[in-house]
Amino acid sequence: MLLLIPILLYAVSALAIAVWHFVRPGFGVPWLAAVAVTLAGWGLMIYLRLRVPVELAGQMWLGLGDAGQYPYFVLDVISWPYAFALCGLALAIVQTASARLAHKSNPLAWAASLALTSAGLVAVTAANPLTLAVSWTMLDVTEVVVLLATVRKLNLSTRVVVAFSARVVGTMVLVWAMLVARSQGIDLNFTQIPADISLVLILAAGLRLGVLPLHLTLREEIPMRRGLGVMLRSAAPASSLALLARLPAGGSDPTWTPVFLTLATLAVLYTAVVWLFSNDPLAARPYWLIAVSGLAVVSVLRGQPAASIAWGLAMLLPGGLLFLYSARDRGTLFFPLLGALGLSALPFTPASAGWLGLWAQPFDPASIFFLLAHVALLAGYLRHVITPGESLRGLERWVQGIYPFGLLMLVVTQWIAAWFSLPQSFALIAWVGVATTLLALAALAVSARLMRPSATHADEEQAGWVSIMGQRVGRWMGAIFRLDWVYRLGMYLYGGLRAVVSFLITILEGDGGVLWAMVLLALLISLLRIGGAP
Amino acid sequence: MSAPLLFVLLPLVVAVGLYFARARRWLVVVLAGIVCFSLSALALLAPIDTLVQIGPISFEIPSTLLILGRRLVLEDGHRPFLALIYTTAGFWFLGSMVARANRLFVPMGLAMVALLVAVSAVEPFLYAALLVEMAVLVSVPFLAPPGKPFGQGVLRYLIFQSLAMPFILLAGWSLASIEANPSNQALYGQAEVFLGLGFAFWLAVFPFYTWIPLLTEQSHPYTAGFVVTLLFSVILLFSLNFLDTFAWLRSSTLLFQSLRLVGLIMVVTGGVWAAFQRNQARLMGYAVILELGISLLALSLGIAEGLNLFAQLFLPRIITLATWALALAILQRQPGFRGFSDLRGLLRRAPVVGITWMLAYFSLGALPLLAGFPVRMVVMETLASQSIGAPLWVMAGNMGYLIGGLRALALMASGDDPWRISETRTQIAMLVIGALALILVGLFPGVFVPGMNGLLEPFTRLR
Repeated sequence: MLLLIPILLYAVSALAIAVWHFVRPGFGVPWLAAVAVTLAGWGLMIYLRLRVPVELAGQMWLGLGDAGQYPYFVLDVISWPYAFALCGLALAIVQTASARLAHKSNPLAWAASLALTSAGLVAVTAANPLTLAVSWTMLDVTEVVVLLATVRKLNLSTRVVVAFSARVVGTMVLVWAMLVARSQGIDLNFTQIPADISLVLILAAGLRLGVLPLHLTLREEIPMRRGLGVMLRSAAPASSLALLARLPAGGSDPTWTPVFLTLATLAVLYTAVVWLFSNDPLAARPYWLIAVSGLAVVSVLRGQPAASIAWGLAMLLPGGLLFLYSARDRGTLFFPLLGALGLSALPFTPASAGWLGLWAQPFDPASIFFLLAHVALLAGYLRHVITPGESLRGLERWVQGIYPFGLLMLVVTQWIAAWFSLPQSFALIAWVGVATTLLALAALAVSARLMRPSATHADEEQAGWVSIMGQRVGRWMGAIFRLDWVYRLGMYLYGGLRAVVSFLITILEGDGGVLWAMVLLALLISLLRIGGAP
Repeated sequence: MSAPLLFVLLPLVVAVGLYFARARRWLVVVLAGIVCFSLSALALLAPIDTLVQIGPISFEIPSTLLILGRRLVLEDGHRPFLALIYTTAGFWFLGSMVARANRLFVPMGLAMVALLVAVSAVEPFLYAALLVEMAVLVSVPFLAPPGKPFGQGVLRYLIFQSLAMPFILLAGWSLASIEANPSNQALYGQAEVFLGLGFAFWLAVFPFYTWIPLLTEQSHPYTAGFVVTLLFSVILLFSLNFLDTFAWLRSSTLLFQSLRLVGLIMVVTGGVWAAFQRNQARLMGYAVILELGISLLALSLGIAEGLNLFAQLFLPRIITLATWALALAILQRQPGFRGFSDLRGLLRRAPVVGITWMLAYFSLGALPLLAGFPVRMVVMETLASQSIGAPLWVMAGNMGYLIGGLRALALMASGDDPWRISETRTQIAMLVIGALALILVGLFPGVFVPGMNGLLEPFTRLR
């Protein structure tokens, strides 16, 4: 029952803040309440880490006597870092909300963030596939309701439903994994997962993350992209990443793993490069999410699910920090730079353990791709950090005080989460992080030199040439790797199939339909006589 | 007063009275509601064939009524069925005010319910074929009200349901011959063919299901939903009589193979047809086809494994179809609504009806969290434990069906109108009740669903 406390804390406070907003519109009390709740939730999560595993099991679900059919949640060493990351994000969102009051940040948005945190906690702690399927749907429905309630553009509403559809397909793949297990006489749970089923689960998580196959269903950005948007784009991926971390170490079915690995590598490379060259971090957020979560998928495919936690946390926390970093000046630059340190995977930093999943021993040439992807991600991150934005100085003094604290909480959350869950990060396991960091800094320095105000004409020409080439290559890569051509082909096939179905329906429901029914019956009986007669 | 008198003849008499009072819509609806809920409460509280003592008053409800030389028998084991059917009818009649069903619906609907109860009560049970035919005939006036064109859907419904009657009666003749001459193997095959054809027509089994989408499209969706829900519920339960009575049928592998094959065809075709559908009312028809297919698949799992699942499918199906029919009726009455393309932006213009319709849709698509998922999941798991092929097809059909819903959702979500609630308070209340029921049953199936096992009580040899 202990696990219910944080879940209910966020859910009830979300409801209370929403009701308060309608009864007595205003910002002060709801904001203070949200800060208090998120701070309490964050602290409670640290306390719960000392008590893991914390379990919550429902009663028999259907009453059919099947032991596998019950809801089961557990906060353990795998789910805790993601649960803690969500609590950290909620805290940071509310604390930094003070700097976004001019940008539609309001109590309803905070309430929605808290509701999503609650649904996210339910999903990341789901400890069997059935519970996970229900939790995923709960989260997806919450997300789709919040999104449809906030978006105004016609095109965007449709994209929201398309994104929801992709998630539903992922959930159905999870259901399929349960059925495959049952066909093998296994009551699937997360403690013993056969290799072939592990691959189906990776596909389910990969589909929901947009990595397997690469699909950018919600490329356009939503309104309230910094506050609520951060939670909207974090809760669902966190629940998929928690599933990945539960998969067995040592790899999956060798038949399909290379195919999945190739697809994931391409997705990571493409999205990391787009992230690097993008001008607006919020517009490029879908690419960030796919690139970093793709590294987590790759880690699992290479038999190191624990390493996926390092990349998952890097996606959520340093990523969240960058996307919440709206008001900027020299004084606050320190915090996103700390976030970059959390992403750098340098030895003794939180993401360092992630290299266990990417930099295999003995050396695998494919690892070079991941090294390059990490360079692109880190360089892109640093580039976005130093890009000028709104000034913090124009805001009220109390905001100037509380806002950096919110950013700092994300850094602290990542380090605490890694301290408890990724002990390898604080041992010297790989120097490759040093290489990627140096390469990223070098790339940043070169681009800064080319773009500086005192650049020579030759430099500008060079920069223009690089930019044009980059854009052309980007367009070319985008055309291939976004897989839009696959989806167009799918739509073409859908159209063809629709014509066939319409034709059949016209025949069966037309004037001769009754006679056609008799003919089909005769055919069916003959089939049964062949297949089933004694 | 015997149970058949209370549960069959009394509502029939009330239905006749309500027919003459049909001009007073509110009165008719309230009276029908009171009768249905009273009968439902009676079924839940009063045992049959047992002396009940309340203070100084004692009474007993006998189970049997002799009528025209036949017997109507409603035993204690029928009480869950009676409670379910009258509760369903009660809610459906109350909702008819909101759904704006035609004036004939409530009186004729009540008569149909009474006749369908008689189907479960009549002995010898082969006379049920005549009662089903009467129920079908009674339903025609409210499916195609006087003065409105008699559509293909109603016509085919009438044709196929009427074709079932002679086959069931011929099956009865064959079964009687088997009892007289059990060693004649040819008679078994004959009986199987007649029974199979009879039930194929009754249950709108592939390829006889074309009338369902036609009916939901051409008739008022609320009345069409009522007919397909109650008629199929009663016939599905009635089919168990045959399995209960004839041991050779229970041991027939061909029967269960046929159920599996036909069930799969219905799930796959219903799902695939739905994926390409551009008519919101026809989608309900395909959902019914898919759901019937799932029921047949549950039955195909065999007596030991499938029967409880078969019974447990009733509750989510009834709740979902009732909610769906109500939402669809309200949706089609939205100002300016003419067809599927007018769904565009509906979520912003009428969010309660849009959301409720989608919840009902996805519930029958077995989306986790909703009423249709828990039992469907167990059915698929049990199928998977026998062979992975069948659940693969079920998943394929289900995905097709979900695509149909997602297309409708995308259309409803598009548009940039401002948000506004255009539904009336009564409509909102009824829709919210339906939506909550879908979510509650989906989240806590263990509380609600196992009660449906009581539907199997009359079938003593199957338990």
